[in-house]
Amino acid sequence: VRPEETLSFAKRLFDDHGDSECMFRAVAHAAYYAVYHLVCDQLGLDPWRNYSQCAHDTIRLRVKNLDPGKAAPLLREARRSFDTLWQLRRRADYDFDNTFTLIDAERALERAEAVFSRGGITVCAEIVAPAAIATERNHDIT
Amino acid sequence: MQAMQSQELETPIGALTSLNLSDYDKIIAEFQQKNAERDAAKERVLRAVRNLAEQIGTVLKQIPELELRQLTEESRALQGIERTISDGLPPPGISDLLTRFDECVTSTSKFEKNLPKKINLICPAVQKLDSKLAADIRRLLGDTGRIARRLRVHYEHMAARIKDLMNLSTDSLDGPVRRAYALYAEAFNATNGVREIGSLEVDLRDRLPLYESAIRIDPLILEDRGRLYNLERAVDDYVEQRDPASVGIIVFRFEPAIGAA
Repeated sequence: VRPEETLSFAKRLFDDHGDSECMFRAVAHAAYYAVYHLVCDQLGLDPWRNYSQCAHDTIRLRVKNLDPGKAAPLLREARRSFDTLWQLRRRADYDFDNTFTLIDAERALERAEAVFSRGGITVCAEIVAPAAIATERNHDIT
Repeated sequence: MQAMQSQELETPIGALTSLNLSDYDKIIAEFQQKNAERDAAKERVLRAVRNLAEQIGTVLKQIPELELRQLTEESRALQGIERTISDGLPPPGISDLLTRFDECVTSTSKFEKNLPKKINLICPAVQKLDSKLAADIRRLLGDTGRIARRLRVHYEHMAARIKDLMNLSTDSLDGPVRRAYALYAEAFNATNGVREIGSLEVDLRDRLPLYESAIRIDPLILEDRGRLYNLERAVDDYVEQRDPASVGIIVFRFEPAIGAA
């Protein structure tokens, strides 16, 4: 799965959210992870293979320490939003005593979309069918 | 209360001080009375001291892992405090940490001071009954004494470090987060619909502190997806133009202004 698919999933969830707070929380969770994986990818890290180097604190620190004057546009945008996305995701996942609102979900989604769009990555709400992804990957290889 | 007790047992000092050595005073005293029922008293002493030896053995096995966990937690707390100071803010809860370390020093000192008295009470009595057990319990109690001394020295050092950090964390601190907050406050103050800018809250639960501030805004903006998005971007842009490094290092939590239309 690619980071942009995670963001498409978040968008689709958001569009179909109804009034469910659980859905708002899931949107913020997916939006954060879409950006987290995208950033790891940009930093040349695989969160599964480089597990200890991809701890959330470590990635937050690496993003914070980026030089805004030299970083690529995508990472510069990620630097703007990473802590906000991380905090929204933490609240979504752990803070069950306080309401997680539609606005919180919207903020997470918009911040994540801005990061992808700054990197020139278009994300649609439609989930890309696995067969289509496989075909696309085969094209990339050939 | 039970949860608190079990939490205390999860620290090296908690495990050490769970060895309630005062329990043995009465048993030994009964044994030392000439007119007492000697056999029953002897049996009680042997049972109690064997039990104590077993308890100390368990505690000694637990201590290395508990110490490692405790050191990791303390190192994380100190890192967070040092980062907050270098970011230009006085860290919250620093005096609570000093109190905790001072309490650790007090309880280990008390344990250390009390231990020779207990060794002098228990060991000679047991020597008369079972010399091997007496040697064992003397060695085990000696080991707990060495651990208590090590912990006391560690916490004295930690308390001194925290005092140094407290001396550094004055209101005149300067750093990137303090400067970023001043710029963001300037940007929010210049924005229509913003009613109140909350103070900076520092969350030290992770290795890297999180800085957050509550912004009270007109509820109409809060309910309008586009307006809130534009407001956030405009504020970030304002800060970015003045100091690009300040953008994104503070998280804002938008709340409806109370009593606003």
